[in-house]
Amino acid sequence: MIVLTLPDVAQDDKNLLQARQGNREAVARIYELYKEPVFQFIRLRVGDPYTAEDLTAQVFLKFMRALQGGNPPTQSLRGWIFKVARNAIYDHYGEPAALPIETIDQWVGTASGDVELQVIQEMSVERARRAIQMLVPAHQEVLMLRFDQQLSLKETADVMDKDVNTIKALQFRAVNTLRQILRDDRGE
Amino acid sequence: MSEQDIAGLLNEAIDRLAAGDSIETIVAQYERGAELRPMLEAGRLTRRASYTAAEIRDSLARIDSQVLPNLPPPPTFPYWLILPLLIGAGVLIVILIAASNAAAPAIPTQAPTLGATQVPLMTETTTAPTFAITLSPAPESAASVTLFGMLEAGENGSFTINGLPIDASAIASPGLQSGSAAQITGVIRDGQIIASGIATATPAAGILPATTPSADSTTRLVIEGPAQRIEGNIVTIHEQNIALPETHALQVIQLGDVLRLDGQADANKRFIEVQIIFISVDVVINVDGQVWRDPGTCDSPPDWARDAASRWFARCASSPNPAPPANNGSSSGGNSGGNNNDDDD
Repeated sequence: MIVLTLPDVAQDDKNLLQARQGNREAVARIYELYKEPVFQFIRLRVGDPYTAEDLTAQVFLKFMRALQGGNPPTQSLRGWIFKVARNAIYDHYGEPAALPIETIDQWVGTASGDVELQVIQEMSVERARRAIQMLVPAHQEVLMLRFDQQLSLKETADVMDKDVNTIKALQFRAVNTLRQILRDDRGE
Repeated sequence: MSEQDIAGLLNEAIDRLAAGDSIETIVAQYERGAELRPMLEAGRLTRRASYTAAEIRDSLARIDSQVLPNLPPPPTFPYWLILPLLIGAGVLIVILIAASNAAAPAIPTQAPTLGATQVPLMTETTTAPTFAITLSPAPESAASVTLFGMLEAGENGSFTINGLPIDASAIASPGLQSGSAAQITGVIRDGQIIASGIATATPAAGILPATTPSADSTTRLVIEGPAQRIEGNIVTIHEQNIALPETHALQVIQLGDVLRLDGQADANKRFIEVQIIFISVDVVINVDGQVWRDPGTCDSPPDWARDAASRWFARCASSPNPAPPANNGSSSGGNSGGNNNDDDD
């Protein structure tokens, strides 16, 4: 299992403060800390690794331009970075159509069986990637931001330009949609 | 519990996963843990789907090649400031040196050139006894000399005056005692005083008559001691009334000044030519007749007297702001060609 450890918020704040003061080393630290998580976030969303590389570079170039231009992030560093990454994807591929968000009331939950759990736990990396890439962008984003990058509800809402209640619903639908994809993939 | 509640529980569970709790721990704490588990497991697939370090190594390197060259440049030393700073420092040093030179007088290296009536400076304070007779740098000759001083008997009938040996072999019986003030007449030969006469120095009988000195017969007269009385041009030293020619020095001689009078005088102790040396105080007389006497303060002497004002310099050199010169000279009064003294008596 791959574990990505994001820097803690306190370290983020310190680095951001120094970066805003023009500290070259602080900017370099931020880049080193976030380049892999951002790349993973983008890489899983886009099909082409080279496109993911370019988009990832754009995120940090934009970050440095924001510092130099006097418009740096002032609060959540990682929220700002992932928002820029998300926007970079949309700028490249175009804004996707508004995701029809079903109400939670329309969701019919099903109790999982041991088989489902076993399948999920034994799923290969490639199948997992394939399943995630079958999700709509918003689902991909919320799952990756909340589960993979471990952003808070508020941060995720800021990145996705949505309110927290919408994110709650979105992540609920995302995980269950993924479960459905996995079941469909198994032929269930 | 509504579905909204389960969405809320899921949200809580996701936060607890981020905080480090295991799925097992989380589902065990919720009644609907069995519903939460597959959602949590599905969500965690995003982590399993992440690319390995080996898979993304090359990609990250290519990203580095795009981003790292654009990092903010390191702070550079403002080398362009070096030349202006050096120039500014140099100007400041020049200003400080000029200010210090203007404040402190130069140490005199030689006495100013003086005429017969001008007064050279002593650079050393004499520590000789009151009756001190020293011979000025005098030419080697058999010139006659009259000395006044304290006689001290030596061995085998020899005498000294303030340590100066006197050859009294030509005198049959001097009849003097050690410790008495004596008047020695004789000649100077090879740096030694050859006495032809030794007599007890007697106080002058009143003031000398105001007669002009006679040049018919003069002798070198050297006398050194404190001025006991001053009446006009008559200065009494060691009870010897010495008539001085009219000199600018007379303007500043004060009672108690230790003087050395060295010159040619007649038998009546009237100097025809004399060199007046102030031993106990700095007095400078310039060619224009201006006189400056060290007032004992740190008032700065006039520029023409600075080189000779050694006592003033020694006393006031450490003062950060010596007072500016009050006048071009200080004089106790009397005729002085260019004296601008405000301290006339």
